[in-house]
Amino acid sequence: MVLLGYSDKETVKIDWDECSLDFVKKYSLKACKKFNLEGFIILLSSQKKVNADFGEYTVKSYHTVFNKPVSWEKNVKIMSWLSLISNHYKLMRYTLVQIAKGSSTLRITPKTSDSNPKYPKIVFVYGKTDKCVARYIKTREMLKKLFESYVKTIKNQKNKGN
Amino acid sequence: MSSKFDKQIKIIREGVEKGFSANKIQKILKSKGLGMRRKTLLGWVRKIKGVKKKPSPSKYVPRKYKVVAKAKRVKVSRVRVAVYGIVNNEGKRIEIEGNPKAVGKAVALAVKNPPKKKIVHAKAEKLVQKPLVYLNKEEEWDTRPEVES
Repeated sequence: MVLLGYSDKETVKIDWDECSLDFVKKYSLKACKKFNLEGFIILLSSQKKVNADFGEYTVKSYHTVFNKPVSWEKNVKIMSWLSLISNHYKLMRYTLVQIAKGSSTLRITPKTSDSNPKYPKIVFVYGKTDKCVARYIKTREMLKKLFESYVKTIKNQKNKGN
Repeated sequence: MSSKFDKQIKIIREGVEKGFSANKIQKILKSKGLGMRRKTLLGWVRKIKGVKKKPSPSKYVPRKYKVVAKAKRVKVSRVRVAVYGIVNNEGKRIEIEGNPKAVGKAVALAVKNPPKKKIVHAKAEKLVQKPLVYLNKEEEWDTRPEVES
């Protein structure tokens, strides 16, 4: 099983692991206004159920994609600024991994090839979406089709093997 | 003397009783200098009628206003896609860049076989022409990935 992701240097992409939508909205809006990023979309990446002493609860993860294209230096600056002001450990880790790689990536395909695959889903839109967001969405549509055909071939191979 | 709010509610109630649409009620309010935001008006119409809000309002937004539909009109000349996963308990990744058509073909190849090195950057056109330079034909991606994006 392989994962497909959208990767480039000029789109500001943030991976918010295990936090609430309000938290994501608050800091995305702050970054959008401070760095004049024109607009953004928030995607619900994944959700999992966690068992605690007081009962079961759901933890959600989100992605933010900003609209304005920026240089890699500015992209790193925005990612680092966000991870510092939000004080979010997982975002700090994500930022460091992206800096080490030299480009930022967000997952597009589901983590598993279930019968009901969960692609990241758009949950919030703010401002303009005509540049980087549009490019991201178009690539997402293309990769979705490719991934579906890949899953089909895997299933066919399994059926033949059985 | 009744306040502006009371007058607005009175007009909305009369409109609903006569079976007017929300659009018509809004026009009546505007003509009397009692304009109201549409979202607030619809809330009051629902309250007077005793109707509940539909569960997923985004379903009823016309397609032309949706972000996905707008994005389809944009032309993309170059894309960069990362294909990553686990091979023999080791994370591997290949980043493919090029025009969307070539990237589609290159991703279809990279999805079957992992790259030779741990991290590979390849141009889609070159990968389609010479896949053996970048990809290892003898290996396959593991079934369960545990990698971070």
